[in-house]
Amino acid sequence: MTTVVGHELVEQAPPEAAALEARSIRRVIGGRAVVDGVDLTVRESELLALVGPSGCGKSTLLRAIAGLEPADGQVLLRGRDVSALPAERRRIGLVFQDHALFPHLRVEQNLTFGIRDLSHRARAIAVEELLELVRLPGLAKRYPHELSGGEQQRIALARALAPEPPVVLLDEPFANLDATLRDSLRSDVVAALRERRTSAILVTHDRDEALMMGDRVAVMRDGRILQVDHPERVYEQPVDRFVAAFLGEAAFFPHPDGGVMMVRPHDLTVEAGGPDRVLAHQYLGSVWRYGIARADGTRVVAELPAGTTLIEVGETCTVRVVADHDLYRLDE
Amino acid sequence: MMHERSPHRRLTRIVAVTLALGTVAAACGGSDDDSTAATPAPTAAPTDDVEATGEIADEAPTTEAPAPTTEAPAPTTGAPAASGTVTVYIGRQYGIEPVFDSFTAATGIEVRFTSGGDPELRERLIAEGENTPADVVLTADAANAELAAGAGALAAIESDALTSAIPEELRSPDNMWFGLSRRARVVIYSTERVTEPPLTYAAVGDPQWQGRVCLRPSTHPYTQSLVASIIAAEGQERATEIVSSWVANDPLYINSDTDIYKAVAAGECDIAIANTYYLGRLQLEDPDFPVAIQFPEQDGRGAHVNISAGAVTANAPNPEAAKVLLEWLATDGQQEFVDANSEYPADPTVPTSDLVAAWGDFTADTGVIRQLGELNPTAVEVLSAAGYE
Amino acid sequence: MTLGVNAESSTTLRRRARSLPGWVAIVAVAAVVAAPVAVIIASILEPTAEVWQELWDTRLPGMIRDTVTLLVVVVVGSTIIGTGLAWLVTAYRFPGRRVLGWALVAPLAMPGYVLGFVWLDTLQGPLGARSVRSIWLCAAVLTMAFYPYVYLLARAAFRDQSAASIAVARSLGCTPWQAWWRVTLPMARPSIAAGAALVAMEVLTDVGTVRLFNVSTIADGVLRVWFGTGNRNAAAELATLLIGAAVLLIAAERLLRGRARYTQGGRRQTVVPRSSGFGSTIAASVVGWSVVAIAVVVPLVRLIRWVGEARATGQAVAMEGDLGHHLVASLQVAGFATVTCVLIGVTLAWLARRRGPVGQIVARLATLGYAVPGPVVAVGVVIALAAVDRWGWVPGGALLVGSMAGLIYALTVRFLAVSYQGVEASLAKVPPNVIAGARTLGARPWRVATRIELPLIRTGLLAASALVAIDAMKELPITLLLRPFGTDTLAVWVWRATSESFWVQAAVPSLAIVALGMIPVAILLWALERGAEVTT
Repeated sequence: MTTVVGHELVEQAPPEAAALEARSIRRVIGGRAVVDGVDLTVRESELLALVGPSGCGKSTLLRAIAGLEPADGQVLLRGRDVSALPAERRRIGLVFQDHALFPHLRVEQNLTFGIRDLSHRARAIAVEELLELVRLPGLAKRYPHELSGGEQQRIALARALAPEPPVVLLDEPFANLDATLRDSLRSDVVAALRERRTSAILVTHDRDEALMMGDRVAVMRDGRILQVDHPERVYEQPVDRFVAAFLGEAAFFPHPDGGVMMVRPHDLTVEAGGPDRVLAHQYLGSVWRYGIARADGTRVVAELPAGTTLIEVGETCTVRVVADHDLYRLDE
Repeated sequence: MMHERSPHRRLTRIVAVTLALGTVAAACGGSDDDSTAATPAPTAAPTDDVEATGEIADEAPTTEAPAPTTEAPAPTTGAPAASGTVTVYIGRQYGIEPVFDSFTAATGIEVRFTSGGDPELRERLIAEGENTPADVVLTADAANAELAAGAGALAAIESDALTSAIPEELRSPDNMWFGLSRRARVVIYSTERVTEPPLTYAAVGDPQWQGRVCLRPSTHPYTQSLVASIIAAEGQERATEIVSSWVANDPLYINSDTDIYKAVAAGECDIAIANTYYLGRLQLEDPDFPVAIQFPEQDGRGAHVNISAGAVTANAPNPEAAKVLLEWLATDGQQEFVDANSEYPADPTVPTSDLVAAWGDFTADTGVIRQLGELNPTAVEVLSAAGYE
Repeated sequence: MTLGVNAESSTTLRRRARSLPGWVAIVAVAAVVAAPVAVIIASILEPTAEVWQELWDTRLPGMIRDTVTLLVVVVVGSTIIGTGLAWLVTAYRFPGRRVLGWALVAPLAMPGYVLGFVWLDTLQGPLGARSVRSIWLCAAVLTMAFYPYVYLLARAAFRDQSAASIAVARSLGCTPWQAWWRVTLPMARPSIAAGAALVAMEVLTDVGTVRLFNVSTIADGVLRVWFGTGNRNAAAELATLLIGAAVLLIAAERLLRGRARYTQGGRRQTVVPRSSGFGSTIAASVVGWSVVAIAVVVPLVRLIRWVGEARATGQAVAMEGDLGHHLVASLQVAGFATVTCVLIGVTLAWLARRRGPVGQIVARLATLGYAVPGPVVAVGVVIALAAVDRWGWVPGGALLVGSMAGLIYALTVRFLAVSYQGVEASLAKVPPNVIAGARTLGARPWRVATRIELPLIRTGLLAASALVAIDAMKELPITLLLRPFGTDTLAVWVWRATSESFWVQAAVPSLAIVALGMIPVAILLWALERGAEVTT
């Protein structure tokens, strides 16, 4: 059910002011630019996945946007400059990996934490709606420790959505959950955000999650954004080797016109006998994945459809490029 | 402030501590008892050195004739030879160690003691019952001795030496305890601000002393015994009136006689009620200490006098030695015992020290001493009823 | 490893619950430790109505008023100071922050009565003897002596808190101050409450400090009645009032907590101290160091000057000669008490853990002595031990009353709660699966305890030991009443000197207590840094 993510909405979004615009965000800690001049735009109702290796500065960027960390640069929310405002006046929702539910408060009190100024009745209605939204009706009276991990994370999202912020920042919200829970939660989070027409930045170090959930994906490294684009574009046309390798297995062969061409595992085929050697293979249901040492010493990963004849580990083989499309060329 | 003065025992204990992280200190008798050589006792007779308490006493040289000095009578003639260690519960806090050292030097009997508040020691003694390690109780006050006697924790002492040295009114009728020194609780006043101090205890309640009085809290036995003496002389009703008049003067309560003297000197209050001997200590430090004594009730019953009482416990493991100690304190040791703390001798034939004599002679209310214990609960009641802190 | 084994192992803990010897053991241990307190409580079976009537007509209302006043002021004061300072050193970065963080714990080594007499004498001059003896100054001194309990626990709670919670609160519209008030503080509340409960117990049972300031609390009244009238029964009844108050306090704290649990699972970012501006740096340093000055530095300076005076008059030589003896006695008493408390604490907690709620209650009963003032425990112990001695139950004819064993027993009755709490909290953190795992590998319960549980709770044990040692080192009334001959601790020395207001002579032993106390304080800090728990 994770393929629900579509791009239609993005295309239909009116070209008005972006939900969130970060300009030249820069944060220096101990002489090192942890975030080094980042520009980032999140469109209305868009889910932007911000992906990068640990320590690349993505969480710091998030905190800077939320106003929790002092930083240079500008943050515009629906065109309004909030750079000078403290966190509590920016109206940006937050969800963390460790859910950060207030352990001393019941679910309903957690949910209404940010909407205290509403009437008692309005808050009660809001609680009901929010619980519906995250598909957890009837849990209002529970304490956080009485919920499962997935339930806690849903409540955390609902709490962030309660004040109806234009943008929600999600900092690795699925990292603590097991695989099956993660899948269902991902689609529910996307659904909830869509229903509320709330924009979001999802920070993750999981490339599959980024590609799967992001309307667009931003790849970050060493405090800089390397590329922002639709998932398939980022995957298929990375701006450099790092982006290419970070988003998936990739091998690079010299391109006849100079530079290198990027080869994904499905662009390769393997035949028995030859100069190369099979190092390992994995059965993934729909494909066999081979790890192969090539004659020139490089290693590549190739995927062959299930049903092809298996080449055993240690046997010799030949790797060939068989892509039915133009291979993407990168300048070195 | 060591209890056990002889160095070898200390050493033994420290070794024991080092070796076994300190089990109950028990120096082994026999093997290491030779360092009591400092004791000038003439002869040594090995005796039972294991006490019923399981503690092991030093095998100390003992005197055949327990009174080595010549000028005093031999009080224990005919009594069984005493030896070993005498164990003392003592409610007095200071100045006793040199006195016990002299006793050991004179008799060869070692003294070990534990100090504490009189009431606490009394309760401990009662609870220990027949298993008590204590031979002797030395109180700072008569009432606690009488209360201990009433609880059956003391034994009567048959001793001619004691009965002849201590006047009748300073000992219990049944010889359960003996007053070994007298302590007067008097009115004290600032020599700088007061010319006419109160001449009776009741006069301390005179409104002219409003906010100018220091008193010791009612938790202290001295206060309780003073009030008991007033009850005996003037009846409970009148005593309550007197105590109430003190309270009406909004006294400053200070739980230390030394501090009471200092408070008078510092101008915190102008008059107070306190024991005399604290002035002795203070005058030793500063001869011009600006506080003087007024003995009250000199036209009547006399100033309130309490005693430091000595008694032998009902279940004393070493009653002979206990008796020797009390006798020594009443006779040969009397002067040293009394002077060590600037108190008044119990034995009227023993002179007071020059320091104490300088405060003047006075009439003492000694008749009431035997009643102090009996009246103590009433005194506590009166103090409570009057709202005395 | 077969499949069946795992299923069986999960019931291991419960299966043992039915074993009779375990129950016998836990009840026996608890009964022995609770006996002196039971003796006291049993006194209400023979009520002394006339004494009560008299008390009620005279002193009792005042005692209750003073006790409640002192309790409220000291608990509130300690809570504010302890919590505030804990937050200061957790959340802000300023020069000397780490040193201040440690220094703020130092008052733990300072007995309340030492702090009391030093400040009493210091302020007597400027304020006058009358106004210095006030319940407010007494409360201030007790606050300075006891706030570290709150400080330590609050600091641990703040340190372990998720920074994300605060960030979320901010994003939901809270200013930093509101976030602190609505999230940070409530999340630390159980720890703060546990610290406040410790302070409350100390205040309820203090008898040394209140007397210095002429404050008549119920604990003081117990002694007043007991030793003034010799009426053991009436005193014991009064003591029962205290035990009742303590039980109520604990119950109230538990009730308040209700179902809410405050631990946050999973990996988390903790609060990172942030730099503060020049002004706030100065302010933070001034506030923090003032507390250290009042509670530690000024008293120490004063004590050292007294020692100097004593040297000048030649009194110091004799005192320094005696120091070794008293030092050894203090170490001995504190050492034995600590070892005994921890051993029994571990035994009880280990047995109780396998025996469900009933076992826990039985074990808790053994810790009631913490709510009883020292002198009352002492007399309860004397009564209990004297009975044993009379019946001659102890082999070899040795006597318990007045023995080291008797003293250690009494200190255990008084302080077992301290070690039990720590051990129980540490044991609770050992995952049941680890034990189940060990059992499936063939380990018998004893082996599980020694090879798995003990090593896992090592730091917790260390912290518990340090807390008991600190308490035992400062303890006075029990030691005073029950010490065997020749075992004069430093605290006894202080008492002997201060009971006659010889402050100068009390200075050497007071300093020695503080110096000695710093050792367990350092150990406690070290253990807490490593995540030891001290309360449940």
